[in-house]
Amino acid sequence: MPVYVIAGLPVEYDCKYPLLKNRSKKYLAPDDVKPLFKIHLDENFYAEKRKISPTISDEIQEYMNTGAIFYKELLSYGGVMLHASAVAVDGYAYLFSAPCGTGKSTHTKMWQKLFGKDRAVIINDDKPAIRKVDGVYYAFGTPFSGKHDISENAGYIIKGIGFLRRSSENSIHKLSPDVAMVPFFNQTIRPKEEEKMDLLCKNADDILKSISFYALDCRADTDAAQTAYNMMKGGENDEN
Amino acid sequence: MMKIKKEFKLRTVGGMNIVVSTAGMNFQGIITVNNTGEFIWKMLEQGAEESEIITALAKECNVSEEDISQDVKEFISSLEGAGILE
Repeated sequence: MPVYVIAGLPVEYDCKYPLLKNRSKKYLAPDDVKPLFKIHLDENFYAEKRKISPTISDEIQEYMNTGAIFYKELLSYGGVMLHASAVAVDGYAYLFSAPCGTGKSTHTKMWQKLFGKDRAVIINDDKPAIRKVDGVYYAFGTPFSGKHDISENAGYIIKGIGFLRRSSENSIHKLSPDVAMVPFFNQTIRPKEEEKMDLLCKNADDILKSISFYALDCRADTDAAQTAYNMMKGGENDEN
Repeated sequence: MMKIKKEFKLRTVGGMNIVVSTAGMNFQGIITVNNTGEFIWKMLEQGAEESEIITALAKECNVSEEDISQDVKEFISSLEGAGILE
């Protein structure tokens, strides 16, 4: 079975259907890489899913659930998934999180409009993996990037994470960890297993203390991107 | 006797006490609990009665039982309202 390296983690899974296979291609590991863990969806799994959601194809189920299992395992490796659009500028990552339909992708598109697509790269448009490597938090692209296949097989040191709200004015301010905790928890997956839930709490606690968080009220224009960049480029990502 | 359902746990994240559920139920939003609430929560977990909690908290905070009994009752009924107690 093929091995993929996602967020620096070698993982083995089989792609039965084109959707997962195509999106996973750029994450294929060299032949000699051994997986840290395996994801396997058996026939019983699909049968169960068909019963619960008959309108969702097996192809979509494979894609969604391989992602869900990957992100659950990520918790065991100092990581967490955040529902966000992540953009990299000059080698650093800036993440924008919000409920569906608020305009996360629209906002990072404004970064590309402001800085140009060569300088502002979308790492993952919907579900970046955040993971600590050598004491510093990185945002990684993954094959699991939502509706659109916008992801890059790369990791960038995070400068800051902004929670986005639509507004008629552009403004940004820093959030303390206790305040950032609420939207952070609302935009990640909460696992059912107690052991994984404890890992999520532990990782989230460390992330909230290590990374700079912001509240960004914004319009859908390039001035919003400039406002966010000016404030967030000085963000911290402590080694601890 | 009221008890906290075993699927609900108190965890500290970002300096806040939050209630997490491991039941896999659709538990949206976040319930945060202050330090007094944490004290009451921990006693409830151990199966303490309301009257015992009021006595212990009054002692802990160095105030009279009358001063805090209403707060304890309100906190417990808010947990009940959120479906956390059984």
